[in-house]
Amino acid sequence: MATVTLRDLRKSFGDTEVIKGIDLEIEDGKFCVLVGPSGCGKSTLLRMIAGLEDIDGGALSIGGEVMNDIAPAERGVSMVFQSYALYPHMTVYQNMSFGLKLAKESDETVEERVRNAAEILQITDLLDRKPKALSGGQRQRVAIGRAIVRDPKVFLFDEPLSNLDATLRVQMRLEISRLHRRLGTTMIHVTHDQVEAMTLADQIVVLNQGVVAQAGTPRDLYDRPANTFVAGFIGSPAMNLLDARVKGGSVVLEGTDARIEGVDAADRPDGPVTLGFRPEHAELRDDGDGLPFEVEVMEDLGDTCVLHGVLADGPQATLRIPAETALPARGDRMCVMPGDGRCHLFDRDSGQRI
Amino acid sequence: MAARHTSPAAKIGFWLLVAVLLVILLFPFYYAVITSFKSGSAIFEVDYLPAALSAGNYTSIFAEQPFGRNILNSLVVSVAVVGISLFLGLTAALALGRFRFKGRRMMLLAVLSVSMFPQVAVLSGMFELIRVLGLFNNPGGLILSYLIFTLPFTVWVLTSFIRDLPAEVEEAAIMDGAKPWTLLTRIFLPMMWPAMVTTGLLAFIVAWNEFLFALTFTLSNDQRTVPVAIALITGGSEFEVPWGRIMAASVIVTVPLIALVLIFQRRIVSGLTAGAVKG
Repeated sequence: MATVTLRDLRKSFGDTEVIKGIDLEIEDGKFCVLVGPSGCGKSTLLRMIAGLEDIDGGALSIGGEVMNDIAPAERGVSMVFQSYALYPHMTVYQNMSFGLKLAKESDETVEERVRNAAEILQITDLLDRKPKALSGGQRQRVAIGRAIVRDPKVFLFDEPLSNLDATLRVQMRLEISRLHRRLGTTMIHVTHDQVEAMTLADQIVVLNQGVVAQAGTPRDLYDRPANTFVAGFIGSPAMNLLDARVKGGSVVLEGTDARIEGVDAADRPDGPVTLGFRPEHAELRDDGDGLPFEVEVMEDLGDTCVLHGVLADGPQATLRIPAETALPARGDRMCVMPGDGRCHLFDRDSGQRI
Repeated sequence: MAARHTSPAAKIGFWLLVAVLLVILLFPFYYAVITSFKSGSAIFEVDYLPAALSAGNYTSIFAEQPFGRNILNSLVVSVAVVGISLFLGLTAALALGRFRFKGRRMMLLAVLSVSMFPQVAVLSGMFELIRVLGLFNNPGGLILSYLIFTLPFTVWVLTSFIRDLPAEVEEAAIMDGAKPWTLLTRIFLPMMWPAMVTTGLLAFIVAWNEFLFALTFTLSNDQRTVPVAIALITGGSEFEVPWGRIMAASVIVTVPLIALVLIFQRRIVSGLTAGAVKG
């Protein structure tokens, strides 16, 4: 077990810098999820920690030891790959014991560790099978088992769930979470799925174009996104980000006179801002004391209902309301107050939280 | 869909075509087998069914000339060619398929271009080389020269195969602590059996059947390989072509090839990598 520390980590492919100086501290035993859109550098960063990509600048240390030039197998890390990457010609047992045998562990140790890991993952029955005789979920377990037997200080998961179907994904997600609790080992998990990030993580690191957009607990990121990128990335449906203006201490939507209640802008100078509010934070008002919202598309999800439409005859917005109320239809006009007191303000130019 | 609605006539037509094809493909060999069992002047009678079987031709090729020795030569040369080609091909393929370095494309094209020259064009140069190396009239000379034909396709086939192997499997092995040699022998090699068997078999057939180099680079009867030995089988007088013995010798040297293909056809299976990655 070990703390993973990244200091100004950098990586370029040719002339393109893909990792632009990342500082990060992952505490011992924490579950850290690296999340971001495609091409943000999250997989590259994980591969740098694993040792599969060279580090061009900065320092990576695991458990206090600088690992920049240490061979992958000697860093005390195990990796689970997106495609499982099992050795097709070996049985499950051979797959799991391959690393231990290369490390010249005694036969008893190998046997014991493989049996242990197989038991944890409930794949004892499969030890004699070849990978091609396994289902996707079973292969995934074997891949995780292969990582466990090496008793690493840090587990690295590279989008391990993205090849599974939706039901299995939820199930494996839960199992990874249980495994983390059981082993108590530091885990770093890469995903582009923000639900996976929110549910698994102690610490989420949102990456954007090779830099950390924000790092914090899932709750932090949801409640206090540091910038418009994180605001738009975390949460589904995405947060509404609308052009607005501070006018005499209150916030109005750009191009309208619609005033947003419950936003504290009393000490802000007048000027343009970006207003953010989550779809689920919209208050329906029957008394007419709010903004008009014209429904264009209605998506009934059963428990809630997602409405896409036009807010105050101006910008497009998305709202999510409980489905118990009478469902509105296309073309209906409703009266709402966005934000429900939980609005976010961002600088219009820099996108940073105000 | 289509198979379910075929009429009996279409079925008969199909099998008729198959039969015609088989006859065209197999008749020459069949006729060689029949001829090889005939003796004396019976050879010049046209029979489509074996009449009287006589093994005389088979015994006489071993008795009257060192045909056993010729087969052994062929075997040594072919096996050595296959072994060297696969070893060099595999190591070259690993470098060309898995590592990025300057001049990689150039090298691949150079390897390919070697196989473009007609055999006759390299014959005299090769002859000088073999003389300088002291390999004239020696199986070593044949082994060296046959690599010209076998290495290009071995390197190319294995390179493209190794390139298609999933990179994550290799990375998983690296994470498990595999060094390059372990990676090659314990991970790549077992996954590459189908390609190895196929290219090895082709290399074997090339070396086994090669004639021109074998004729040029050997002098004495007991250093010859079978294709040359068969061509140089002589009859009692200069006007007699000993067809019976030639056919018997041809049948003998064809059998190992057929046996090899039959043995390895089970190993030439695709989908050995199935299960490594999501399939």
